[in-house]
Amino acid sequence: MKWSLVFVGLLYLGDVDLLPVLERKCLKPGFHKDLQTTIRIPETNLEVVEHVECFILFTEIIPSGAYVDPFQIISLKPHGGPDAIVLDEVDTEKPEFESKEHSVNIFSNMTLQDNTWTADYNLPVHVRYHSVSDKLFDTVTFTNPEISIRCFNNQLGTVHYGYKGETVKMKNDLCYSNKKLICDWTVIQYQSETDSVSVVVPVGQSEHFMIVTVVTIITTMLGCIILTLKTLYKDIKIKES
Amino acid sequence: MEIILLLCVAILLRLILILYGEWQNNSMAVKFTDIDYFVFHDAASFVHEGQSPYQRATYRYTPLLAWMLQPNIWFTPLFGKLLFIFFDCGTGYIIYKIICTRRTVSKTVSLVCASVWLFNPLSMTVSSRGNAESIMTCLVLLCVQCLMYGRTVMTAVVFGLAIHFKIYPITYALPIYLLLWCRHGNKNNMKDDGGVIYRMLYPTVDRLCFVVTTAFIVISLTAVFYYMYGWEFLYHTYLYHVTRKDIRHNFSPYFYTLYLLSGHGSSPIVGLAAFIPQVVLLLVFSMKFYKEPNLVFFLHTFAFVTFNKVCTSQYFLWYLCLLPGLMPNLTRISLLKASILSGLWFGGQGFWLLPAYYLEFQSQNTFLYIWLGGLVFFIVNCYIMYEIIDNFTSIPTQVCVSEKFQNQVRTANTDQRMKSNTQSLTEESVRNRSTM
Repeated sequence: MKWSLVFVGLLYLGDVDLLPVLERKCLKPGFHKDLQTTIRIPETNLEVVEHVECFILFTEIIPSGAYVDPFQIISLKPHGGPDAIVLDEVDTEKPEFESKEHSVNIFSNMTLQDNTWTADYNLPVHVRYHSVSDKLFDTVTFTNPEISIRCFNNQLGTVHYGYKGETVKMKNDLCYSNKKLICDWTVIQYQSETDSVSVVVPVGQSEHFMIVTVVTIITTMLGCIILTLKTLYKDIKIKES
Repeated sequence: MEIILLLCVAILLRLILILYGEWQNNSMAVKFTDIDYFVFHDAASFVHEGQSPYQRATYRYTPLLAWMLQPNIWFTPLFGKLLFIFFDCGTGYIIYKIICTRRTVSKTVSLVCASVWLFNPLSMTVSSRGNAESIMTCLVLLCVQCLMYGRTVMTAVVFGLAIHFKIYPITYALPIYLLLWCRHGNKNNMKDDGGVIYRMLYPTVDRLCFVVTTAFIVISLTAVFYYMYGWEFLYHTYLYHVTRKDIRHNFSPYFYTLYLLSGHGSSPIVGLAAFIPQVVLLLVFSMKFYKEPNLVFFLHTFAFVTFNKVCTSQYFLWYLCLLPGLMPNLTRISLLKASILSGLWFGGQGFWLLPAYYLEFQSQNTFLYIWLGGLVFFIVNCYIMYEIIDNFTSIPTQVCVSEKFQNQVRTANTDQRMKSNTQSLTEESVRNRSTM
């Protein structure tokens, strides 16, 4: 029984090889990171004839522990930043425990290189402050994005359904980041080494509370008392020349 | 003439910095322009499109600023920076004028003190990067100048505008109110009858004039903008700054305590423990130093920022702008001691910045060290305040005498001089006649 399953699995691998491959890394240590994502689609998966252009849409769900700054995205766009749009309202100042996850759509063209269609982006993400804990670090997990494709025949002005690989479903979503037009997108299947990328975030330690609070209050009170006494006993001299 | 020359050089240097900033913005990943400048620019764009400036997240300023920056949209995106360097150099000029009012201070000293601001790398960079703090520094110093010149209505107008721009100068209300007693009744003879309480609270004409004018400016601006932009304006311009609870790392000694408390509701004891020292110091400074507006404004702001629950580096300019005007009063501090105090101030920031860098850019858990750094910086700031109070000497000025009164004195003196001249001339002519 076991061996027959392996055999069926090996037969299935033939199809798996055709699945696009997602590579994902979180660059830069610290609170300000770049989520680097690349999708490689085998050339055979896509039927591209003359005048047909295909686009990729990545839909990221940014967890409550991080945020994408919509205004940073706008300012980076002219300098080669990702063609992205933040779909929900984002408060860039709130900590993780007062925030919600939000969606970001990233649009990309594809380039053909070595029999592979590639689309990629570097999305700047910022980690939020997290709740204090007994541990030194907490974790923020970025799940892999949903990836969709749409092709368009520029000459005919019609949609071209040219994706031959495994698909998940069809969906309606924005065509571009800067126009409120809705298009048909094909959500595609892909493979990736992991389902998500995790990063660590330093957190305050609850055991510090007592010592930190007591020392702070004593210091500030002492500072206040010394300055008050100094002021009250100050004899203001007049400089005549 | 010399001050004009200094101002021209200061403007030129700032213009060069703006041009350098443009080059850095276009060629490097790290932008020269302050992140807030983009916020102002975006808010100005919203206003240009007939929308509210508060549609720009993190725009927490008066709509006046977004209005002032309209040429950013239809003229040049650099307009705001040009405006800010104008206010920045204006601050330098007012420092010069303030010091000139001191009787025993030479013009050279006034020029040196103005240069401390005009050629200070900190103020130069801040305004050239597009930070709007120079508007505040200019308004606060203008307020000091108006007080020194005895112009109550102008003081109130500028003071009202300053409060409208940023809420913090409201703490100056008490020392200004106290100072205005000096102009009550006989201006040469300050009456102390009725005791301290009477003197503190008695609503003289000047005081009433100050209170009514300030209230009129603040209320009318608030009413107009509330009518235009509603609750958003009230929240972002005033309430946000009063109720600000930012648990992210900053220079305040309270930051780690507040972070450790976050998510568990606020603790009234900690809130009170942070609030009491601020109130006590503001009251004590007001009572003791109200006759020295530059000193009392400086100490108020310095103490307010140092003891505040949130303290970021942009707050430092609020008190630094008042320091050059105080320098002639602090000559008892030797150059060596002044250098040590400056070194301690910068060193204290460095002591905080290092662990803050490791936290923010290297993800290392350095919260305890950041808190210690904040505490060291707090102690350094208290020590600097202590030294300034200890070494302050008053220089006679015309502060307590209104300009009208000064003019009267001047006219009287001139009349007397003319009379004596006429008399001597008459005597001379009589003598001449007799000799003839």
